[in-house]
Amino acid sequence: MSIARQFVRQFSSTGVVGKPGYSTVEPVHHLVNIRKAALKPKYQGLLIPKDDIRSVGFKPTEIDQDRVAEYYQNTLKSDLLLHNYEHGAQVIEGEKKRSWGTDSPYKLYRNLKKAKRVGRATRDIHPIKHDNVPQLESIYIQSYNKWALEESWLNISTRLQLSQITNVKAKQIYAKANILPWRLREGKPCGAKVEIKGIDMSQFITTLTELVLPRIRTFKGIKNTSGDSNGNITFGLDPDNLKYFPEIESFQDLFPNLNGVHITFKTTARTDEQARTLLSALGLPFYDPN
Amino acid sequence: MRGLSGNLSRVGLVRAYSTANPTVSSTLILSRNPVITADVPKFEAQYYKYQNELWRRLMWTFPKWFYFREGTLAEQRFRQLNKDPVADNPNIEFPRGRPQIRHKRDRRFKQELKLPKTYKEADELEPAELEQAQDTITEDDLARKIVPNSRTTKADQENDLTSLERKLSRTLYLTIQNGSTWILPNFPEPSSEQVTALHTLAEEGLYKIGGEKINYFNVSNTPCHVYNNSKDNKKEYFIKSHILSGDFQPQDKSMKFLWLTKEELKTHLDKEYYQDIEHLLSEI
Repeated sequence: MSIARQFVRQFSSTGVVGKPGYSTVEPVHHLVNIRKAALKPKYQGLLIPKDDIRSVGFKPTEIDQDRVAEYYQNTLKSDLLLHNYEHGAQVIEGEKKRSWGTDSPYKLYRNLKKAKRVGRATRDIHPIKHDNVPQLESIYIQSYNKWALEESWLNISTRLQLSQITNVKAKQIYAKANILPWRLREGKPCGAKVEIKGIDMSQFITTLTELVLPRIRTFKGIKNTSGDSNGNITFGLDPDNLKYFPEIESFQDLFPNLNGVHITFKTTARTDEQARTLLSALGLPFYDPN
Repeated sequence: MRGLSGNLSRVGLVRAYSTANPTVSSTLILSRNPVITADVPKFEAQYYKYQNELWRRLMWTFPKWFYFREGTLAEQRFRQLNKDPVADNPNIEFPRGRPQIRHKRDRRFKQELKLPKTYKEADELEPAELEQAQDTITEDDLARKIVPNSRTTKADQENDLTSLERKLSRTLYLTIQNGSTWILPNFPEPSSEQVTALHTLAEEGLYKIGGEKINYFNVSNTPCHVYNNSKDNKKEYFIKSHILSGDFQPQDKSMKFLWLTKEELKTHLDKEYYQDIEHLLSEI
């Protein structure tokens, strides 16, 4: 028995004072799960971005003159600024999550109420100025392959097909839900996705607008109704249309089972209308389905 | 008090230019966009070359086994063109370093592939064949060698400033001669009672002086700039547009016009006028 244990604490002093230097309470280090192995000094090198020459997976990005990016910078940007300009334009506020009130601490700390009318909160629409001229950020291409649900090796050709047309290694996508009539089971590989940026994106746009789309006889354009009202526009290409990509056209016997793809243009435009203006300036036609 | 000072400053502004009401006019910035890629400065070109070589050096080995299946005729042709690199032999000293062969590629260097051509290069042909080849090659022959067109045109060589085909890599602007000075085409409102929209005014004026064989794109009905011409007591609003096809054909024989780049505009335009509109013009 130590002296400290026998000592009766007065109300005038705190409990901590009499304690030796360690606590029996489990420390709360992190409220989020952290993979400690990834914090090892050995793996610090992996955190360096791929376009840095110190990175192990270094891949130069500025390998050539970028025609599309140059066109945007020199001609399109100032035109879009003027085209989208409105006299006396105000910020159109989006629907935000709402407070429950401030008259009780319970309401104050309660999770915010859902946005009015729309469930999900929407962003504000700012007038177009020099710093928010719509720009194409990246192109997201994804392909769903239902045959891969039964035979997972069939997904290889889907991934390869995307890599072939984009010059970027495609990632596998997995089913997220169990839907019996579609034979979908959680965790089953069922297609591929790839996000392209920079010079690969410019190259893809050039190929699409100059070699592929003009050769599709039934192609009228992207529908005017397409878009997620956040400035991202999507359209689809059928398997028959994909063979017009020169990378696939020259090796048709290597791709016996082509898969249709969904192509999403991710832009910084705040409305679909602005995004459509940007894309049509880049050479993508649009049409009114109604 | 606040309203009073606001009024005073407005009065002062008007007085600085004139006492009479200025004429409203529309100035057209009609530009021809670059047709080909911009000229790359030497340093930039070297930088791209260096990065490109690095990229090629770090590339994965070409999967020959996938694109050229073994035993096929295509693979045979590919093999004839691409000889295997010198194999590593432990009994031999390599003064320039030992080759590191993986999948028939020397990992020390970038991989260079030769693909079968559909045509023959000029140095591969016999003299007799050469003459024959020159006669037989036509524009619609798919197997012909693709040679890019020249970046300089006939208009560049003759220094024809009125041609739309000059300086393909630069933005050109239409300028016309007004008396002794050069200006961007300017069209005043016909009368103060009858008001026409600025972009309509610019369009009608352009067709009047340059003929209707111009296909142009008006960027916006909103003017992008205003120039207070104190000399003529005019307010010039600038309407931006691009010529897409057709040609500017002056209807009046005596009218002089030029298609100029930004630097050339500096020498042609009035100094004060150029400084006012300099920021509207494209560097490229």
